[in-house]
Amino acid sequence: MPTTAYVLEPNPAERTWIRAALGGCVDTVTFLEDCTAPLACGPVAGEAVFIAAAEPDDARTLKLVQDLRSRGASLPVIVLGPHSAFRAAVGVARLDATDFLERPATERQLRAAVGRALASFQRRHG
Amino acid sequence: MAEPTVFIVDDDEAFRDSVNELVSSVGLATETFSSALEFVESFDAMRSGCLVLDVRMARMSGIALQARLKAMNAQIPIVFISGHGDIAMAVSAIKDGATDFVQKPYREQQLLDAINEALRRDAASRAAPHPDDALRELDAGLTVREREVLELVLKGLPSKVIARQLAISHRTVEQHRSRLLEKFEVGSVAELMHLVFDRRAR
Repeated sequence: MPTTAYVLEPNPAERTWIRAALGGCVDTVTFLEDCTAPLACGPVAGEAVFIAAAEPDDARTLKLVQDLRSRGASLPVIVLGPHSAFRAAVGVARLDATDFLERPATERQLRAAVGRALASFQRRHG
Repeated sequence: MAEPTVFIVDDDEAFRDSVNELVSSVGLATETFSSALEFVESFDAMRSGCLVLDVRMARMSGIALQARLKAMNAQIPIVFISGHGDIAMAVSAIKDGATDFVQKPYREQQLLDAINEALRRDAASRAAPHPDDALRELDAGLTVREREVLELVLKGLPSKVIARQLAISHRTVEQHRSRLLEKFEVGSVAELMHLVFDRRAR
């Protein structure tokens, strides 16, 4: 089954790092242009995970994930954020199928988190 | 329902006292413990409330206590406090069921809000239908004294000791024991213990 990572990360250098980290881990990496895009993703084919860089105002990132869940999207979510986003991390952790990686994260940590997320997607969707 | 209690566990006496003072100042009942082991030894699942727990403690850490309570199938909501918590630890603690993870330094209202949310969750879970409705109904059918005797019987105490602890006669204790066996429809104290521990462990 094809695997896709949808990534919300505006920083070009970070996009390069994420693409390199996910090479061989997922089939497709799709970069989204704004935070409304994940909500418009619609049903996804195959297994998928959503990776979001925590906004400077990390309340927006938490709200984005909460909105996804409230609309019934069960896509696993990984949030990448700084230590200062501690409260957002706690809020994200309370939601189902989520993870929070503190930056700077290693490629290994990101790949491990994506692996866990895709495994949980497979468990829920058969 | 009895007033909920905020159980505060921290091996730092000064910090434990400051949290106790803060929580008491808003009218909440508190009990303090200087170690995780001390809390475990006195833990009573029947008491409503929540746990405010430091992460780093000697001998048994807050995270280890959370795991121990989970193994006991204890439902008490936990608010962690830490000056050393990293995000991975906080995320893991929340995923394992903690209500909140408060990082020092914190605003007092932040901690109070976390505690109030934990108490709300505890009250909601106690009001919700329990998977073991039969046992809960039976427990609800006990008098206060019968419940007291039951808890001491479950600790394996003989009637003589129970009588002394509750300041009642040996004969009265024996009468309560008989009534407990009738209400739980078991033939012996051993069966009673097996029934209650088995149900509580689920």
